[in-house]
Amino acid sequence: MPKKEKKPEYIRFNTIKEYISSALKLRSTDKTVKKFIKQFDTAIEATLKDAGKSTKEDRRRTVMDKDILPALEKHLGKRQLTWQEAAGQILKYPAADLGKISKAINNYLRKEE
Amino acid sequence: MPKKESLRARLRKADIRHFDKLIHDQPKEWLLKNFSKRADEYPVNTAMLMRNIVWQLRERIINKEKPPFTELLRTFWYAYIKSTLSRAGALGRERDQYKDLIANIVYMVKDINVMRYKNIGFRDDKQGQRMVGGRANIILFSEKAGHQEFLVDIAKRYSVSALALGGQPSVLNTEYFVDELKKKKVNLKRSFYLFSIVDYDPSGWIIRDAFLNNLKFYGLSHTRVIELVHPDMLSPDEIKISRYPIKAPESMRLKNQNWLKEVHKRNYKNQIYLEKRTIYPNRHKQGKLTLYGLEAESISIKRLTEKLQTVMIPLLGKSEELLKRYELKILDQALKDLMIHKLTI
Repeated sequence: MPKKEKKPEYIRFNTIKEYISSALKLRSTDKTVKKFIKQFDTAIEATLKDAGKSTKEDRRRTVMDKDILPALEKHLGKRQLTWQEAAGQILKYPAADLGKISKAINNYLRKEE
Repeated sequence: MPKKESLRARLRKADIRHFDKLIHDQPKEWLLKNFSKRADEYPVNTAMLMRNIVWQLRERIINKEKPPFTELLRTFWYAYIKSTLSRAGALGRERDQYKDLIANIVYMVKDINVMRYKNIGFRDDKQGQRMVGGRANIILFSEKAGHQEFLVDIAKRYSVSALALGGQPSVLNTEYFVDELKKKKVNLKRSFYLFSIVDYDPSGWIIRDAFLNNLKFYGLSHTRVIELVHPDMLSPDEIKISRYPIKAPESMRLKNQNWLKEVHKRNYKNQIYLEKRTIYPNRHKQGKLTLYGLEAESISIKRLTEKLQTVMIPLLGKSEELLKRYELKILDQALKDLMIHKLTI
């Protein structure tokens, strides 16, 4: 069986813990910090892969701004989902969470009335 | 990133270790020698002593050196803890050390995750206040034991699950409830619908959230709560008769604010009857806001039953897939309403 590829770790656990404690003067649970790092590690990996793909498609050997900026926008920038993406996301939710979305919409409508 | 802490590391962090001698049988000198680390209020570190007695009992039961305890936590307190604390000169006169014991066991179960209540076999004093029905994913729960009869009636009639928390929900109670779900082969990853009968005030909602948090800890990750006690269940006149002012000492200020923020998200139209701002004439300053709450009992059983018939019955007996279709239809209607709203503003 091929060996499972190890996910790269871009952000150091201790750096985040230390920053929260020394700069923000707060405590943090290990679980929360791990969750935070996991999200960022996944986004960084996806960004770099997209940028690399763009570089190769342009037959270059150097990753440049024009590769990295759109990838950053795609994976880390705040943006609105297209309706197709939003619908795809909704269909993944379990029944209980779908109920929460309907409730949130109804609450919004009641507020607007 | 560090790996998940090993059991040994978690135990070390909590100052728990293996002792060959039976801790609760040892003389004062031995207790002082082994448990005086970081002791302040008493000659021994009471938290450390309690945790080690609990852990030792667990070890002995798991190694079959002793049968499961099968008694209440209160009995464990008298049999193992109180006398040991007394011998060590650490029995508090004013402090409720039974509460400390409960907190230490919760710490071992939830915070450092080194044991479960069932490992020792503690008996649940609220066993009679819970039922797991054939339609186990529908759970009706109440804050007070006073609703027990109503819960049992509904649970039997519709074969749903029911639980009377009887105050602050205990982790033990939730663990055993979830164990019963597992015994009935209920998939914990499916959607669970919880119908909540708690006081409409900050404390009631704290109790509800603590219960949800416990359920999540034991693996129920997809839960939806449907409130049965809220101002729109009553008419304005009924609210004025039933409401009571919510206590607002400094210690509750933040809790009350957070509760109000949550309440406002729901946009109950009768919420206005539960908020009163004192108006100071000739002053620009905003007056003091008085919040009111509603006891769960202010909603009659008849009205609760009617509400359940509307909101609970359509969910009964549906597989996850059917529930999803049902929810998608409701979502479809909500989206259409939203669309009309957006087109007409």
